[in-house]
Amino acid sequence: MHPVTAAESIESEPQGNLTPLRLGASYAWGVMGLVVLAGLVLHFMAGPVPARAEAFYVLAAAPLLAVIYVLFQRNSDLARFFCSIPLAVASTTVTLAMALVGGLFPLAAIEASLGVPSVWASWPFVLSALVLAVNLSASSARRAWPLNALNLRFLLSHLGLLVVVVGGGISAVKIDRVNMVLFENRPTNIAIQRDGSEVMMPFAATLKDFKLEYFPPTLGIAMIADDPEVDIELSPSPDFIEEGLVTVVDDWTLEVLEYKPQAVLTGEIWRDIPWDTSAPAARVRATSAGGESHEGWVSCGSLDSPTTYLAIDPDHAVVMPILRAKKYESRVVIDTGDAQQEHLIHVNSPLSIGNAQLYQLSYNEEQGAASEYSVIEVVTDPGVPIVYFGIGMLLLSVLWGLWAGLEKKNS
Amino acid sequence: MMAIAAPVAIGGWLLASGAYAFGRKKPWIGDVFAMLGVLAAALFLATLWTQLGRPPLRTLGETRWWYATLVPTLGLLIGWRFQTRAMAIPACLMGAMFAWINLANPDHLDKTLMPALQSPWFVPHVVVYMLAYSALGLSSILGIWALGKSVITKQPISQEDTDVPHRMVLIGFPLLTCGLLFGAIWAKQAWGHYWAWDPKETWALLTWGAYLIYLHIRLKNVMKPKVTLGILTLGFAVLMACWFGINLMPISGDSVHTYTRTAD
Repeated sequence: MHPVTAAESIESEPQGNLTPLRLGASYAWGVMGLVVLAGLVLHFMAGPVPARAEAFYVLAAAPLLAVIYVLFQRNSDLARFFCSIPLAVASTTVTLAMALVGGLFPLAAIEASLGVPSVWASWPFVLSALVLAVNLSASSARRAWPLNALNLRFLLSHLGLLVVVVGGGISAVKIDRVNMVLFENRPTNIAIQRDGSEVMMPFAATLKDFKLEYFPPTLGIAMIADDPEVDIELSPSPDFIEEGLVTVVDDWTLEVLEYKPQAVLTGEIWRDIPWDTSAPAARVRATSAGGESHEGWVSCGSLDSPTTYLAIDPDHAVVMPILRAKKYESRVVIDTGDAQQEHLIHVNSPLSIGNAQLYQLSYNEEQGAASEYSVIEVVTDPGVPIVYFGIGMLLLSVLWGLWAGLEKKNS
Repeated sequence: MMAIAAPVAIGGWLLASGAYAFGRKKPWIGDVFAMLGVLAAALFLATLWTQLGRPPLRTLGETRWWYATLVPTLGLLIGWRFQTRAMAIPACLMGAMFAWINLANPDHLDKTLMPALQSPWFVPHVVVYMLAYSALGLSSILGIWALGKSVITKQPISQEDTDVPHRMVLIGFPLLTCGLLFGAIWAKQAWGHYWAWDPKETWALLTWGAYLIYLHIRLKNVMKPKVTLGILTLGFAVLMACWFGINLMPISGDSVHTYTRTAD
């Protein structure tokens, strides 16, 4: 056993009991070793942790039992061990070591080698996090009384983190994410689950309109390569195209002589045609530092028109890089049976219908603005309010911690 | 404007470092040069923001400019607050180094901002993270300096050599927590879930956890400065992996946080 210091004995002793901890760091690391071993045995015997509510309830019993034990056996060696810093350090380190595996290797590689869909569903990770939850719950129970400023700050951070972990566990087993593929003016209450099966929603949704707005196009000079395996090197101009724009890229001066935001190539002529499938096109003059000049049309192309570039030497051309989405949104009518209401859903602005949130997920990227459908993701997650409550507690502790950190005396 | 501001910032911070090193009795001279650097860097960022028409917080290069600006700023503010110039030289040198890295590897300017980033959370999330990274970066540099000094001079590490880096962690860790929590709230709003174990999220958690472990270990090992400063150094390595390194890992392809790279 490692030598016990005075500091070690006080971490969970709010009332000043300085009796040295009997179960210290070596016990904590030993326990974590056994936990990982047990996790590996379970992993090879039973596979990944089932994402079911029953599994959550069984696992959640451990921190609850720890709280009850600490409340009744406050000064026992075991209670103090549950609350101890050595256990906090060991359980956090081992949990993070598991997370490191998930942070280093792609999901597909983990599934191929470990046979689990992710590290996060593996028994060693879940059991390590469970010990961390036991440590958080036990130490929170121990510091719940007396409720002085020191203990309140401890509770805000530790209990706050525990609440987030519990909420996260509820989310893991209870979250429901399904996609509704909406076609214009065709009401539907069918959603598609992750496994591809269909499920009926308690409301019907009708897409009234889907809008995709792009940033204006830009110009660039690209290296032309015949070999499709070779990555195209692009030197882009930051400036959005407009008529009269003059920009310098790689010692070439590019001048926009004519610009058609929505055009279609008919024969050899770009004509202004405001279709969703149109492409922007610009007539550009490229002049080198030495005075060499080239002039012609460039376009990023679209479903109706080909990509067009202006060759300036055998290896390089002036190009219009593909357009980048600025905003996409769906105007939908939601029919809950009691009422029909029109809403706008776009990225970062989900719509709440009862317990569900509706998110603008995607569209047909090949068709772009002409996409004939919009995909809305419907998310139901009962863990969210709990997680947000924990986040609120953590933010309060953060403010308190920052204040303490800026105090002139040592905190 | 930007072509002048960046060299002025670097020059200001280098002069400040020299003034702090050779004019210990007149730290105000170093402060003046450091402030000149901070003002020039702030002007650079303001000009970049105006030129791009969006917050310059998207690419690695853009966040490096914030880092270069905030590290000396924090060095000055914390120095004034706690009446110490212990971090003044490392702060100015770090600012100059990061600004120089950016000048040597200039970003392609890109005015676009993808829909997921068009959120009120964008600026607070990234700025709070940059502030946290600045404070934690300073703490690690000071820790490495103290460790190195102890090895070279064969003298024990002084109380001040551990207290100042620890003070920076006490400021940086709450900010790091804030950045993590803001990110979770934003992710829920943008992608439907507050935590998806995306590689960037995982590394953000690892970084936060590394400093959490440091804080707990220091509680018990305040008399073992080599241990605590060693963990601080390790924590900064994890932070750097989260900020830069992840883009070089094979797992980066699994991440939706790809907008941190230079536009290509």
